[in-house]
Amino acid sequence: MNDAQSEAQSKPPGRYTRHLASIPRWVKVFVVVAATLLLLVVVAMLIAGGQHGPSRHQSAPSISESAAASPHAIDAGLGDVC
Amino acid sequence: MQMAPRIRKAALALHICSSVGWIGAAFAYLALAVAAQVSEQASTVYSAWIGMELIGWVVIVPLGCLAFLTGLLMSLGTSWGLVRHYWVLIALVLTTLALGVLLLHMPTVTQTVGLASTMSEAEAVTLGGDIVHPSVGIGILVFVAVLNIYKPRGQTGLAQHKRPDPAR
Repeated sequence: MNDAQSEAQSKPPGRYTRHLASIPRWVKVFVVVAATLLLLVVVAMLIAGGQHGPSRHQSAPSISESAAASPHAIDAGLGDVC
Repeated sequence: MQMAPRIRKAALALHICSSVGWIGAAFAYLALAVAAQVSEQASTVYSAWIGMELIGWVVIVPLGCLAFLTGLLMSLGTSWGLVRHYWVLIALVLTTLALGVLLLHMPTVTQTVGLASTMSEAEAVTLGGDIVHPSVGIGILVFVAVLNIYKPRGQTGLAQHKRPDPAR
């Protein structure tokens, strides 16, 4: 086992290994935490059945119908602001 | 391309004001979202959604765009670079993500306001709020602000040897 260890240590590190070792620890921690949070968000969205929009608030009328019928949506015209 | 000191300071002032304003406006949006979530009065829920739509389109989106653009200007116009330092690269990715989600989400808010206007009072009360989006957004923006203040060390290796490390 000592031979194997010393053999591994004597090998020069590859370019990828050297680059990985040069990455600061805070970046590695950030990547792990961000990937975990992203995974959690994806799982939560899958569990929620993929519903992601105003339709998740109410199942009554369809959005396009109600938005078209809404005087506020037309009068406000806020979508044109930006 | 290096900016002249006067222009750099003006761009920095604009970047700080727009970024901090974006965070503040997101907190205001969150307050309305919480009000819509917890209220049992249809008028309050509906008013809160109208306020969220107004703040979103008139304040948050312009400030977000301005913060993003001035951030690009600051990184490209100084020796920090856009992809040279990890903190700049991560701030860029997170800001792009936050702005992208914001621009994709705001039409949904407008649709919800339209939907709410057609609802009965009993239905409008069940509409709830929009707490997750502003909460996650605030978390991301505060993290980016902290990165901008601390500027943790670490270079990506891209264009690493072209210019010296900028003064911290």
